[in-house]
Amino acid sequence: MEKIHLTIDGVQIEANKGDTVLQAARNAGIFIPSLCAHKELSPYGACRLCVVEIDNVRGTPTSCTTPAADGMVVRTNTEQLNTQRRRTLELMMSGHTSACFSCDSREECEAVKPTPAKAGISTRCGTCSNRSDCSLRQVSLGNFTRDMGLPSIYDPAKVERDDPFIDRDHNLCILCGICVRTCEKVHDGKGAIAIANRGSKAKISSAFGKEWNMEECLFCGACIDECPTGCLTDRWSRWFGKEDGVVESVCRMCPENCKINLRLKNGRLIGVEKTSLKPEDQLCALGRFGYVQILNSQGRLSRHYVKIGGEMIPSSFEEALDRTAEIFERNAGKILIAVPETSADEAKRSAMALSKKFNADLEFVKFDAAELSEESRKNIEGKKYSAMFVAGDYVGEELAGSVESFVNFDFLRNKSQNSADVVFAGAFEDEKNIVKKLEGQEALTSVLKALSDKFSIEESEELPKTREFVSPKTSKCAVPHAYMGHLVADLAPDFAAFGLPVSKKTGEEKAKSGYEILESKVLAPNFHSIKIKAPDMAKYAKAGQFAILMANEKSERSPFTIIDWNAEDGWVQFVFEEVGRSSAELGRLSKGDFLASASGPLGTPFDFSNFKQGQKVLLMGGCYGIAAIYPVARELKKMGVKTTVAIEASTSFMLFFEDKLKTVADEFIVMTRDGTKGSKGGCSNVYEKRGGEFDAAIAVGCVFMMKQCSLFASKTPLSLCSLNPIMVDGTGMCGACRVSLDGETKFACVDGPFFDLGKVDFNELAKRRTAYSLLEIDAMPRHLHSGGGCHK
Amino acid sequence: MNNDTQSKKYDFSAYEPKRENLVAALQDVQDKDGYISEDAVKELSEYFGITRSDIYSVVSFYAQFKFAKPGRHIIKVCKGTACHVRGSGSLLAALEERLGIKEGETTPDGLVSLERVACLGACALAPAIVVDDKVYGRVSLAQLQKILEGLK
Repeated sequence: MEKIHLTIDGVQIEANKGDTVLQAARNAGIFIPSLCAHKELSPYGACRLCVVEIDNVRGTPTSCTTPAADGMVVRTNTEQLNTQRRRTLELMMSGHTSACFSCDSREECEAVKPTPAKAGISTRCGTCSNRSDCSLRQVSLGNFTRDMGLPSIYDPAKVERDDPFIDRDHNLCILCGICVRTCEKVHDGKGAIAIANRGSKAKISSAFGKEWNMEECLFCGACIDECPTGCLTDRWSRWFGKEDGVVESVCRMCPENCKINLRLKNGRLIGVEKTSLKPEDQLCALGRFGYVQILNSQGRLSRHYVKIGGEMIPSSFEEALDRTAEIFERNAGKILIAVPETSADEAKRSAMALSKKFNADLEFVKFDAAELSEESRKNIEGKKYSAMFVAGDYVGEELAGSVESFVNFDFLRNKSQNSADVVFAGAFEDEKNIVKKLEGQEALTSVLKALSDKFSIEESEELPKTREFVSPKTSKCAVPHAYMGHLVADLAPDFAAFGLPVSKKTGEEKAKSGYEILESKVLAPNFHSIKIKAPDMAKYAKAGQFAILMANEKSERSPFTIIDWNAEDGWVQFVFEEVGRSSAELGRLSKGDFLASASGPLGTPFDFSNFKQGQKVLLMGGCYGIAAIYPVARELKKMGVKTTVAIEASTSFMLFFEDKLKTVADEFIVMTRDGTKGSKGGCSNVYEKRGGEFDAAIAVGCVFMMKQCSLFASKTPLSLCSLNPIMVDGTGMCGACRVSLDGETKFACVDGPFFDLGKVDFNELAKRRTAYSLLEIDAMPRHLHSGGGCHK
Repeated sequence: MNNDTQSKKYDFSAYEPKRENLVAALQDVQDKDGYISEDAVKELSEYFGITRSDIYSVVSFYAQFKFAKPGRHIIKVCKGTACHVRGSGSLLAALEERLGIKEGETTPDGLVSLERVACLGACALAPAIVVDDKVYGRVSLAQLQKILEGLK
């Protein structure tokens, strides 16, 4: 290849003729920031971050679209270029949820909260599932200054969740066009998405802005894998964050046997990705989204079982193998072997050898079948067999029980196992080979191989011919309905949106009786207010108390502060932030629905006896604390205490309750972390600067906000905070809510929730609150229950 | 989706099936139908070999193209500087209220479309509106009512 020579930042470098300036610089190890350049896609020039100065070239061309030429003199890192990049980023950030970038406490906050909160909507890095893998964040951390001069623009209507598998939040989109170009490339010029509209309304869209499922989109997921921000995300796997390992494998959900990359984290499968952007390497929805969900489904078998004395006993592989061998020997000539046609070749060879040796019938079950062929079923009913070896969920309990001996292999529990003599679990605890552990069918190979080895039979050479089939890569309608006899849409419910059959509805059930919701409002993104009918609670509630709510019978019990109540009308109001399953379930309830349970008032009421008329008190509320501070402020104001209410939020559009708080505040202060409303900073800045003016201070908010405030606790004679640890019963029995105050253990539910701000061990509290973070991800509501159909 | 066997509604044979001819073909469609329908986009996609999403991207880029069938009458309210100063904002608001539609929309019965334009060049007559091809100057709210009543 012809070489050219150019100078970049004073360094002489050699480049291939035809390279762009950006490619030449990168090959030479010179960094130029960029967001829209992608090594497998053609140059685009949208993000304007890779601008450079070139001698004798006017202006600042984008290096990704400028071909390198012999003798060129390029500068990549001048003051003017960096200013220009900062301004460009600032414009991007104005339309992006960027409060965390501008926040002066970002580093400390992220040390206390190492993983983003699993919020319903991303409103900043702190609630963005893409935080660990965000290109915009990486580029910005080096280039962006914290003082942004532009307002932050947010539109809740830009969050789209109507499609299966994919969540879209266009508030995070930077219009780099990578998804559009990826879609076009992997589908050979026939992309399903493009950038529609213009200017501030420009957005990634399918034709006529419809749901992608109604259009050509095949849900190959390629766009999600390449999206540099949190705009396009995989609803099921997004909260796991970045993988810690990738293993190459082969998908066996259909005979296409595509190459796939398995994304692993802590030894667990968290996602599947294509191996490259080449059209032939693209995946279908089942491979990209279904595989990981199916292998992670609840009810996975992890142990083998052998029936001993009428009971299924967990057994070793050898025991299960011995019993199976015995069954084969005893029933020779009257055996049916059924394995999926998508099994590995070795498995099929072993199955054929076994069938020959024991004169057994052999069925390679169609890859998308939910039961055995009619012929096999007739033979079973006609009592042709006395033993069966079935790999998958192809026979029901009754059919399995109609033969003398039944051996089942499956990666999940199934009904036929109730009638089995031996059950092989399709997941081997083989620590050395994580992929083997993950893939049920690899385990099938081992079982069949071990069996044929046991009888030392020669494996047959030839394999059955594969049938013609339509690849699910080419049409949503070709996605197989079943995998190893299990209905795909039962295990990955989003596939119901393709029109795939389900055997049972798995939708969450709303409570049909309990506490009626009188009003439900969204105050700010992720923040909801509900008023419920609860006359007893309203009668006895006092400021500072909380109640434990459950949206439905199966919800977790979670504590929420009582914000407002009316004993006469019998209602109680709560404000909560959507940060996981339970709060998301609450958020989906609307007027007329019921809460399954609401127990309260709980906790020790706020002690007003410490306060006197004429005293000055600083009340600080952050996030949900903005609402929680209200009942206390109202009481204090009634007592004639001079109240200064300071509230903080990440950004202007996250503020709420301002008018309501003004009615109970003698002085009202607004703080935003990005400075888009009020002053820049948090409540702790107010406390630090003016703490000396007050007789007492009260802080309610997230652990980090209260921790920051605690640094200045000595500024006021009295300082308090309201704690929010994980709670179960709320009455002092379980001990989950223990907190440490100067080494002394207290229960937040009965001793609290209010404690001495200066004494709380906030680091321990933060740690205890994350104890169940992985289980919390598994519990997230991640499926869509809409109907639909495939579209050709 | 649409039936493939249905006969073609549009004739694009005047154009070579090249990307640069797409906008001209779109203009023809709009001249014929008054708007760009989903069927038209489908036929354009087949003829030009450009994906539907890509064509939608082009159509939505230009304010000139419409996605909804316009009403039998089109009312254009001038929002140029002079008309703005002379209160065209309240004319637009009154029209929106009386017609029950927003600017850029068409009444459900297909009678009237409401649009706003940047300047009609009739600043001396501010505030001005154009109904179909007739210009009305110094429009008052009372006059507006009469104009609306006259539309059939």
